[in-house]
Amino acid sequence: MRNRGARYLAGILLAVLLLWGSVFPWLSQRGDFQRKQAERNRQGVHLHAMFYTELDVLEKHAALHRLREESPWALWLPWAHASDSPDDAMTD
Amino acid sequence: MKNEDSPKLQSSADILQPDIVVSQPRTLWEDLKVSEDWWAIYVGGFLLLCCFLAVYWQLPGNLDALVAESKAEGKSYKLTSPLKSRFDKPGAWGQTPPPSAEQGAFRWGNPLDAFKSGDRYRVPGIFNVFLVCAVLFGFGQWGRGKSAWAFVKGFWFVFLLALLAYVLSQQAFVSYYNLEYALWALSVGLLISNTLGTPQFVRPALLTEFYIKSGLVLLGAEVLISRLIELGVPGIFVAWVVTPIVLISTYIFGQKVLKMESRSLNMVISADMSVCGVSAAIATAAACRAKKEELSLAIGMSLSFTVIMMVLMPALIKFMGLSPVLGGAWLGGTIDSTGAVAAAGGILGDVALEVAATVKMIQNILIGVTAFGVAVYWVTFVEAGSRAPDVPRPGVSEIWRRFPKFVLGFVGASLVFSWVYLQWDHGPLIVNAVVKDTTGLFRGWFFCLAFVSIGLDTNFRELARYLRGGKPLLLYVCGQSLNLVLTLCMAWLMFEVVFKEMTSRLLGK
Repeated sequence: MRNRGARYLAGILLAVLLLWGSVFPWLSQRGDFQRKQAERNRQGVHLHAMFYTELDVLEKHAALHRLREESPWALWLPWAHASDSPDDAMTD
Repeated sequence: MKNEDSPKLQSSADILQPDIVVSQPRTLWEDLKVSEDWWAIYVGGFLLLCCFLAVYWQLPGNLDALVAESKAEGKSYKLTSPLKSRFDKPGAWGQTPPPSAEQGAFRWGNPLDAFKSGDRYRVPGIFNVFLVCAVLFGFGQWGRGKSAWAFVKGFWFVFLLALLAYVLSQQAFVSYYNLEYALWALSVGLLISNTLGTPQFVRPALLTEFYIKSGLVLLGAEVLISRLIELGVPGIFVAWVVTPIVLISTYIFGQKVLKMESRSLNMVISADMSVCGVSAAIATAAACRAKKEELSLAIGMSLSFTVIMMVLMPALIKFMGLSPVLGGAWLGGTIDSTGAVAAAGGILGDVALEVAATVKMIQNILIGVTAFGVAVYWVTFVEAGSRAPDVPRPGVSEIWRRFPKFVLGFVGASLVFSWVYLQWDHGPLIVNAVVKDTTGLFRGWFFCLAFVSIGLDTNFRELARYLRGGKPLLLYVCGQSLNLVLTLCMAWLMFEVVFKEMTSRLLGK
């Protein structure tokens, strides 16, 4: 029983070595994969992120930051305009 | 002592156990001394305090000037924890293009690359993590009246398997498809336990619940309530209104229609599908005392569907012709894993990525409320409701006795760090340095150790038992379908109808 288990284990370890040692490296060295990977790195996307604190992209917030700067109430009041100050927006 | 007649009288220390064990009532003082929940709070709290003080004591005296200077240059100042270089985990590997990409020269994968970052070696940092974990959990075992030495003798083995899981998950191609460490940690554990069998000397180090609860206390510091408002009203409606509706509906559907045998499995699947995947599954499983196999199953399903949705949903959004803002909000509200949400959003462009990641972040924060709510519901209604009719409903003291106390540490950490983030000068800089440079890393290691322990303690046959009849799968599919429909409707209403002008501006129109 234990011998059979050891054989299974050896077989799976061999498969892991083959996959991680040659198949995955071959796939990850392809040009299209490299391009996609570079794009993700540029965007600050980390696939292993289990929680938002592991995502760099959230610190950039370019579009949302710009929107808040231009119109602080745009995310809270549907009728707020770009030129509104918070007080104007409340009384609109 | 097992008691099959009153299985719901278990203590919070017995969560995630395959067997239901009845605990003897303990006084508060005894509980504070030996309960795993309290020790998880001590371990997590101690680490949080140390990491916080390390940053606080090293704050530059001229921080205001440095921040102003960076702002003037159009950059944002980044504070770094002095402990950052002391602790580490295996890094990404297999990302380097072949030396001559044009000729397509092939390079074998070298896992040792995971232990190097530029000229720096990660091994000392990983060894430091091992030492800290061995000392903290060993001390915890000693404090709980168990053998610290027996723990340490087995811990190195568990840690090595966790290290292997990290290395496997960090390969570029594997990482690209979001096959994260939780999956590999479970797999390596299952592989050992179902082939050679888990060695006896390792068993004292299989402290699944202790690792999970301590990790959750650390996670509490990342649940910053103030970040809830980052996407205003639309974000709150998409993430905080739809998500609880889906969670509760799916749970009721599982109980009333599918008639799931295990309420805890039903709850864990409902939470991981509706809130945020693995982290929500861990928190809910601990709060509702799910069994190890139930947590493994829920995580396996969540990760499988995440990969499918991450690939299919951006294509579907393009096919339907949805705007990047609406598409991003839909992705953020439906795909389980945070990393996969960002990846799928990135396919649709930078604005979609930003909206998707922000919706997911707001949903992530819901994890604290979910864990607390599930814990209260479980001890008050589920356990009380399953008692014999002649046994009176438990009083407040009984509910308190059964309440999983680590949730207090989780919520407490969230409140304290939210306060620092919001109220202190440069609070966001301080909290980010603490969380991103140190406690987040330890939280990852603790969860990885927990998943290895689950794998080492699980039999394939036990796991297969839960899949019989296909109810868990059906529950997930039905719940996710409801989630997809409701989230799309709410996102459309918020971003395309009520806040249409805001959406136009985000899209630069």
